[in-house]
Amino acid sequence: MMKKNHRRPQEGAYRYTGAHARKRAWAWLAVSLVLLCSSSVFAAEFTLKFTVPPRAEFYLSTDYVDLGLPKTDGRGTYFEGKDVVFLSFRTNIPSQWKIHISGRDFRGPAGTSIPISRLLWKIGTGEYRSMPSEGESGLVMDWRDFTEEILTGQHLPISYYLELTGDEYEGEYTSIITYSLFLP
Amino acid sequence: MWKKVPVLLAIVVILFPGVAFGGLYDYDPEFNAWLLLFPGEVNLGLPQRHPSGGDYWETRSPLNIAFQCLRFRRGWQVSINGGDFKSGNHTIRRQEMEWRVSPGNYESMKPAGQEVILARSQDYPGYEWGLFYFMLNFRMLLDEWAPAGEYSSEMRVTFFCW
Repeated sequence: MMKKNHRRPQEGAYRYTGAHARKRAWAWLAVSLVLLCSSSVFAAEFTLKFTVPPRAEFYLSTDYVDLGLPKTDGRGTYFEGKDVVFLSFRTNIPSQWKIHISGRDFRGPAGTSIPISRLLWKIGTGEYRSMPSEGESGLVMDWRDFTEEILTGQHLPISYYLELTGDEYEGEYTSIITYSLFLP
Repeated sequence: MWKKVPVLLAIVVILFPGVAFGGLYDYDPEFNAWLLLFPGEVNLGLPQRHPSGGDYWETRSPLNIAFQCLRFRRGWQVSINGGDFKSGNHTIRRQEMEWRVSPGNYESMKPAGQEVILARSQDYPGYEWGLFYFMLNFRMLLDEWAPAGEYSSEMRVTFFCW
């Protein structure tokens, strides 16, 4: 008499596949463990280093600026030279550098003078600022302005503005304006 | 007590060769394999002026790597890995550096995190058990200015036997 199989075919197949998969997983795990245990990784380290030296380039486009003749508008008489000097600056020093500006009073004929602090200056499209008095200096920029542009080089246009107050003697006035780069 | 110090040092050298030689030497007794680097620091120093106008660095003395795996089963591989060059907050990418195994040609290093295969057993059929000695040279050309500073990268040479 034939023995009756009560198991459904699908169920039997499922059980067989599951057991087989588990066996294969265990086998793979065992092989992996054996491979892991029978391999070895060891290492040694070295340091590769080089030095980028500090550098700076700093120059003006001209050593002479003539503000020419005065202009007038509804408010007064003034001299203005827009973008008359280009300050080219480049450095790779990321800290502690600074650029200062200073100037002597304008000297005119017969010992007359105009205080340099009456001269205004600006970089690019910024706001005009007063020059520091003779013997003093003002900050143009420092390392906190360090950007990729400073690293690749900047050409900063500088403008000057001097308003006459009416108490100046006539004549040709000159001054020397100095830009100083201080490096650490 | 002091007489035991050399014995203890010898034990440390035998058990922990990597520690004893400052990470420049490692030994695996199971595979009878060893790896040796010299020197532990390769300093390219200051740059020279390159005709292109950029800065150029080149190793004056090479990095020496020697290794041997006397009891491997299937193979071995030696690779180099490491990060970008750092100086404070500033980074120069590792692939700016070129390297060569003397007397071969220079090629760019791979980006940080990607290993470079220095040697594999399958590339030396019949000589896999031999002693291998490589001299590595490095050079770099930067056309643009980089922030000043001393840049360094820790490089790891890994010897894998299986």
